[in-house]
Amino acid sequence: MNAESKRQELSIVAGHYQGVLLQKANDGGFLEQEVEVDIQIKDIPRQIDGDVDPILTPILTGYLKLLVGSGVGEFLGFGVEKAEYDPKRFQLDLVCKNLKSEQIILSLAVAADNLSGTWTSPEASVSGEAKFERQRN
Amino acid sequence: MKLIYALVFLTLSGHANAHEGSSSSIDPSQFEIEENLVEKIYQQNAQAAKLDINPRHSDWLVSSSFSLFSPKTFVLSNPYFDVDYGRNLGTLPTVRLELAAPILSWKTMDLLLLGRIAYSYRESLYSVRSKSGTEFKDLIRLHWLPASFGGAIEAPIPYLTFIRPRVGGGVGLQWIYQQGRLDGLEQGFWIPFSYLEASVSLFASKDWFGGLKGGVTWLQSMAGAQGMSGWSLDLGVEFHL
Repeated sequence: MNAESKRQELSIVAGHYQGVLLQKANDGGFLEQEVEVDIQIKDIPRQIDGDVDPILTPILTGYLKLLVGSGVGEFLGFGVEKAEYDPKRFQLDLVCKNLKSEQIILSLAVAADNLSGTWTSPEASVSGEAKFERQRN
Repeated sequence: MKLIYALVFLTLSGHANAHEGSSSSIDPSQFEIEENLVEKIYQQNAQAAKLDINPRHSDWLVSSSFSLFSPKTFVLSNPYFDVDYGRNLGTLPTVRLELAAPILSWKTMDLLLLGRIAYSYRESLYSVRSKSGTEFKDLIRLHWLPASFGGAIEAPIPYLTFIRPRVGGGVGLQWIYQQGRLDGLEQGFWIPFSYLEASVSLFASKDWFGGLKGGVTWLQSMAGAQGMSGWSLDLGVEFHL
């Protein structure tokens, strides 16, 4: 697969999303955490033996923000450390990491402008459902 | 053939008697053909030629191969979590080193003693189920190190002697180590296993090159709590030591 077709494949999931992380509460209800996810395509140079110039390979990168407090701009930020999109299963897996190296792992099904699936924080041993909607500007 | 043995026997008997006897004369009546003995020698030689059983102490083979292990079941359980690698793993690429010592040959067939060790590593996202039933995802690093010994029978196909099929089996012990971020997930496992293999060596020569090798292996764990079974497709190259 060449770089251009890979870029087209990844463009299906690239974009800015807003949504919630849900966690089951003890009373049977759900705790909600508002979240923003930004997924971008970035070309990284990759050297191949025998070639003089490195080849640009598109990958997914971005960030995840847990929106906290009442004020605008207060958030806990996580960078996307690893992102894998499987176009056959329409499955997007994101491993996000903060400065303390704590992870949030999202395993999402892609359907048009919606992402839905599960999230896990391994360090806190908590998990739940995740829902996102793409924001069109 | 009988005649040759008889003549050889006569000659040897003659020499022996000439040394033992007096130096002056040789009595022809001393020569006796022991027909039973000649017959016995002939039968022994004919039997040995028919069986061609010779213990072999050289011609060791070392092979390195690349395998793709495809698990049918692969579940690791510890007191806190169950990880179903069989559902998530896909295929597991493995490198393997094998030492084969021919211990017996019969006609063109060889009986081999095998020792092998392999290693595989994969880092990927896996579904993890806690004992309370909660589903998690974790980025798990999985190390797999199986070591085994066994035996195999190898023989060339008549008229296609550059093809040497081999069937064999053995038992071993595998060390599997999983590392993740979930508290309590990190653990090593020692799991006994058995395997059966069928493979083919191609273009083996008498010198250093032992041939190309391809085959399939069925692996089955022998521990109750940790279940593992599956096929591996093996491709490699063999060298004579």
